[in-house]
Amino acid sequence: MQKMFIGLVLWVVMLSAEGGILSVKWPKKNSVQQKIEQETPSALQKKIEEVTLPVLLPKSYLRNQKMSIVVEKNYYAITIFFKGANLMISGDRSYQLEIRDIDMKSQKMLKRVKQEFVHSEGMIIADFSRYGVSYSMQVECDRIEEDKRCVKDEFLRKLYRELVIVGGKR
Amino acid sequence: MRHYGTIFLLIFLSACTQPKDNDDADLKQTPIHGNTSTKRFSFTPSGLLSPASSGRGRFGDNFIYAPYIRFPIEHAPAYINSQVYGIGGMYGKAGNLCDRRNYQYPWHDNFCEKRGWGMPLCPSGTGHQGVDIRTATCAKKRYYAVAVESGRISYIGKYTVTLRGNSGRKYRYLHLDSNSLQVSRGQRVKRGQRIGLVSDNMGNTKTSIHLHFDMKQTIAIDGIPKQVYVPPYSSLVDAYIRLLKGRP
Repeated sequence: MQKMFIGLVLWVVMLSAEGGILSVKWPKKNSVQQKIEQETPSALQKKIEEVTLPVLLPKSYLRNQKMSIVVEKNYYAITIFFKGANLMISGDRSYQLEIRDIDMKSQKMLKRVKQEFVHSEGMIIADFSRYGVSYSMQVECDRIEEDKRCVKDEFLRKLYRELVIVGGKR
Repeated sequence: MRHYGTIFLLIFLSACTQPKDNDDADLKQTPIHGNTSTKRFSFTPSGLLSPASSGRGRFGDNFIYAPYIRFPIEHAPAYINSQVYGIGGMYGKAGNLCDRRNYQYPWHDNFCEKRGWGMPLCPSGTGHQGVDIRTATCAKKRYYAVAVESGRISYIGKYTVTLRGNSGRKYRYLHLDSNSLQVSRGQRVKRGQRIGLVSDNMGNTKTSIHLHFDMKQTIAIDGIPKQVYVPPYSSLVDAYIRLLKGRP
């Protein structure tokens, strides 16, 4: 416990309140990726072409007509409208605080942290990092205590597993 | 394993010396004099939850995670206190939600208040992800919530509005009246711009008339980003004092 405390104190010294923009670690394009991008409707691709990070969407909703897209250079948010529920997926390159120079052991520990699906005010949210940037998915329902999509994780987990890169400016 | 993230995120304890029990904490209130007609403002320290049975907060964490934000309710007075543990709340003293004792100073932080939701920054690992704010009176759909910083409305849901500020922080406004929204998805907003009227909208689930407000930000840990809900209380105290002084 004491060691942890000392570690924390040291880390506090390394904390920087300066924000900035994260570097994207784009994956190599393979045939699967190329196929997905070919399948992505051109209208959607056009809207996200200026986003400087990989734009993720669940594969089964690439052709969904009921979606709203908000884009900035370093950010995007896509809302998909279902009957009685909304799904929102966002990606962001910005950060507001920084911690530097953690040791190797801590780095490994950090990388092993499992993906959590967190219940929040009637929604279920999954925040995660991928390709060096941060992403968030959330599902919000009209009937939060009855709709299984907002009561159990399965729905969001399924969509999370389906995420593919549909575009973005490399 | 899942709590390793907690270890890293605890470094936010910039001024943090958490007592074993809330009862040990200094209960001294800090009166603030504003040049408005608002009665004398006071607040209990950040992380000191009330009642003590409502859980353990981040006592002593006075770090202002969102500096210079505008207070999210257009006009003072407003009251930060627990909905669930307040008078008339699910776990609070019997009474009416509109009891005037729910509408008075001092403010009480309710970030990390007992909930089953995962919250890496809370001492218990679970808790309330933001703070609940009551408006001047118990009137429904009378008081506007406003943008805390300039940015873009990134999401409008069934009972949620999310503002992504130019800083990259995400601010969630919950329970606004859907029909009163003054913004649309994707719209750019300016600091202080009206968003919607505070209500009790939570789909088909009952809640009290209040604004749930939370802030999420990204921390880069050696280049690996982690998004977390950060404590809004100190930022809101700072913003409210400016509002009372007429410099929101």
